[in-house]
Amino acid sequence: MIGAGRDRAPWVLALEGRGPALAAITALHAMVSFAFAAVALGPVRATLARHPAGAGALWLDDGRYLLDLARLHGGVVDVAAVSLLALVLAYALAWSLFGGVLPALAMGARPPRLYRAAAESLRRAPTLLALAAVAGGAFAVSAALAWQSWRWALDPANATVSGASAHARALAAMLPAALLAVLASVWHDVARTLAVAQGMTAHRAAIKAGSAMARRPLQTAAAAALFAAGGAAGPALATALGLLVGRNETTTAVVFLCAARLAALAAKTHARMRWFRWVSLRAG
Amino acid sequence: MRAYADAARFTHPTPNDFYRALRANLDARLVDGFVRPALETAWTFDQRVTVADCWRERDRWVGRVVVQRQGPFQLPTSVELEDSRGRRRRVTWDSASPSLTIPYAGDAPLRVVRLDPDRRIEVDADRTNDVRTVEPAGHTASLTARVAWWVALVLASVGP
Repeated sequence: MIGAGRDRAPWVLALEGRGPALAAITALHAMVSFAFAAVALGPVRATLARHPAGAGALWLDDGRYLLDLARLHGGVVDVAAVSLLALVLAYALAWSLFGGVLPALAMGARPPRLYRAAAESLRRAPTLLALAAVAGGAFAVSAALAWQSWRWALDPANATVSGASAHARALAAMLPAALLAVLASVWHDVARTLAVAQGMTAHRAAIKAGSAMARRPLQTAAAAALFAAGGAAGPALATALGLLVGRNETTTAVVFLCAARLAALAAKTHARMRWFRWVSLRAG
Repeated sequence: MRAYADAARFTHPTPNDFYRALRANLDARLVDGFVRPALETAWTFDQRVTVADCWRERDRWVGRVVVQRQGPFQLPTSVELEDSRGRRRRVTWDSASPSLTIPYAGDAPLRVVRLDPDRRIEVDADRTNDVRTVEPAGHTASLTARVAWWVALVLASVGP
């Protein structure tokens, strides 16, 4: 078992010892994203480079240039979409295997090095994969439920007079599916933290995670919402910043935005660490 | 159209009657060069800048620009040449031949060539080849960074 200390409150989890691991995870995440974007945009970039406005040409002629570019590179767009889907699936599988890394890093005052946390996660791979499979099943049920709810709400047989109210009803009908997805996500986080922190088997971790959530439902929901909001704040700010200055093609603006986005990704990962820290202290 | 309707009323008009009526009221080159092919053929029309070169000879910059059209229409248009100092000059291309070579000479290097800069020809199938810089100059780093950011957000939803 890695790090079982309870010497710090989760709200003030310092970066001590976690900085390099946080930087490495963020860098890996950013590199994968940049590599994919660079490869996917290769053919488009060659065309754009011959336009004096560069990437800014995409917004010219009321979107006509963008339309022509998408039509011209239709095959590339299709391949990029399929490749992105494959990348997302591969990434999800990889993080199922390494799902114990962040919980391991978050525990204790003296966190392990990243490679030790990864090794610990791999050692518990069967347990983590089993928990991920259960969570994945819950997500699949949630998606199917959402799809059925949406179809039911928009079915002409159940039509309302107003199209707007029909869509509002469709969104309301999807709430149970969304709730199930959130519950599955929180349960998965709690269960894998228990599996790593206390060396539990998948079966025991699953049951104990459920009972821990049932014992403190409001506290758990509030903490999950708080940490999720904290994690989303950085990316939301970086996205807003991108909308403000994203069309500025100067090197300074591009570098500044990239730095802001990297910081937002790091902040999100750090918020996840703090969440795992909270779970390890409360659910243990 | 009114003249055609009057002339063809209570008769059995053919397409030639229609074009004859148009020729009586419009430029014959427009009817034969645009209307007839537009109505009778499965056309694709594309104008493009295929070559934009520039090099130094003694104390002057010289070069050449080649523009081409693909498709049956002969639509007159403009070709705008902009040098590195931002000075622009326009050449009219009557589009009678499928391609045109324009020589360039000036005291500054040619930077950009724009075909149909006023965007008057809406039937052009592909506008991405209407503009060409002599040297690849457009900045695309921000686009790569932006796409990478959205990919990162998608991956973060299934990541740690």
